[in-house]
Amino acid sequence: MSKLHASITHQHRVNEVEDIHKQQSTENIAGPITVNDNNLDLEISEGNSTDIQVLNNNNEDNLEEEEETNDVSQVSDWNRLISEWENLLLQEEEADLLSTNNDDGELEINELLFNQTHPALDNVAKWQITDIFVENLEVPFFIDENDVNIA
Amino acid sequence: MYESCTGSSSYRRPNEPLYLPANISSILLDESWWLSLSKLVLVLKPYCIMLDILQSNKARLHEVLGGFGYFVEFWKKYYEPELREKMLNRLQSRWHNWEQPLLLLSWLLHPDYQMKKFKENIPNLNHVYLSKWLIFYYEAWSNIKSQSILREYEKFRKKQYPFDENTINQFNEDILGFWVWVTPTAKELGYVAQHIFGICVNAASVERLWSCMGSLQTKRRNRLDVSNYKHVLFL
Repeated sequence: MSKLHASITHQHRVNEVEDIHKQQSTENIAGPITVNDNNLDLEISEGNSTDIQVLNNNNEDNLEEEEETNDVSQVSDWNRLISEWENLLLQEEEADLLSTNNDDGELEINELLFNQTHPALDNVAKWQITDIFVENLEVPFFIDENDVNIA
Repeated sequence: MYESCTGSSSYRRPNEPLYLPANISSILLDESWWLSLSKLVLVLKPYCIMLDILQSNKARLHEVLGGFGYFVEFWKKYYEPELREKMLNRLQSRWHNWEQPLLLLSWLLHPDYQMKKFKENIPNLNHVYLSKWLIFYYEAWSNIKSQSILREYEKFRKKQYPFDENTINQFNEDILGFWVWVTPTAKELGYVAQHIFGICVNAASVERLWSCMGSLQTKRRNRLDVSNYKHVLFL
C-alpha cells in the first residue's frame, strides 16, 4: 500500500516536472517570437524536437537574449525619449525663429519709421493753407458782409 | 457827457455836473477810435466763435482744421490788404509747423467732409496720396503691417454699408461713436479713425478732474495714496 502510494506520488511529481518543462518550453517559444529573431526561432524549433536539456540550454540563452532585448527596449525607449526632447528643442527653436521673425517685422516697421521723416517735418507732407480749401467754405459763424465792406 | 472837461482839477463839489477827464473825452470824441473798435469787433468775432467751438470738451481734430479753413476764408475776404496779407502769412507759418497729414486725415475720415471741401488739382492732395498716410499712421501706431486698410477705405469712400448716409446719420454727429461702432467691419481704418477722433484738442475734458483733485488735495490732507485718490474721484 505504501509502495503504491509512493509510486503514485512519484508519478505526480514526474507529471508536475513535465508540466513545468512544458510550460517553460511554451514560454521559450513565446519569447523569441516577440523579438522576431529568425535564428532564435530556428533554434527553438530545433529545441522543440530535442530533449529537455537542450531546451534548458535554450532557455538560458533566451533568458540572456531577453535581458538583452530588455536592454534594447530600454535603449529604444531612451532613443524615443531623446528624439522627443530633440523635437521639443526643435519646436523651441522654431518658436524662437518665429519670434525673431516677428522682431524682424517690428524692426522692419521701426526701420520704416526711422527712415521716414516725421510727418511734422516732412516737406512732402506740407501744403499751403491758403490753397487747400474750396471757395465758400461753410462757416460756423455769421459774418456780416456790410461789416466786411466797412471801408 | 462826452464834452471835454474845462473845469479845474480841484475836487468836484457834490452839486457840480459829472465830467470825464479831458484825455478820455478827447479819445471818445475821436471818430477813428470808434472805427477801430468796430474793426476789432469784426476781427475778433470769428476768433471768439471758433474758440468757443474748440474749447468744448467734444471738440475734435476735424474742427481744428475747420477753424483754419474758416480763418483763411475770413482773411481772404478782409478788405484791408496789408492786414490781410500779414494774417494769412501768420496762419501759413503756424500751419507749416503742424503735423498736417493728421489734420487732413481728420477730414478725409469724416463722412461729412471726406475730400469734398478740399480744392481739386492740388499736388499731393487726393485720396490716393492721403491713403499713404493712412497706412503710415496705422503701422506707426499699431506696429503691425497693414493688410486691408485700403480696401476698407475704398468701401468708406464709395459709401457702401456701413458707411452709407442712413447709417451714419443715426449717430447724430458723434463721429467717434460711429467709428467705434464700425471698427469690427473695418478693423484697420477704424483703428486709425478712432485714434484721430480720439485726440482731445483741449484740456476741457480733464478740467473737471483737476478741479476735483484740487478740492481733495488740500494742505490738511496731502498724504492720500494715488489709489485712494482714484477711488474718491470715481465715487
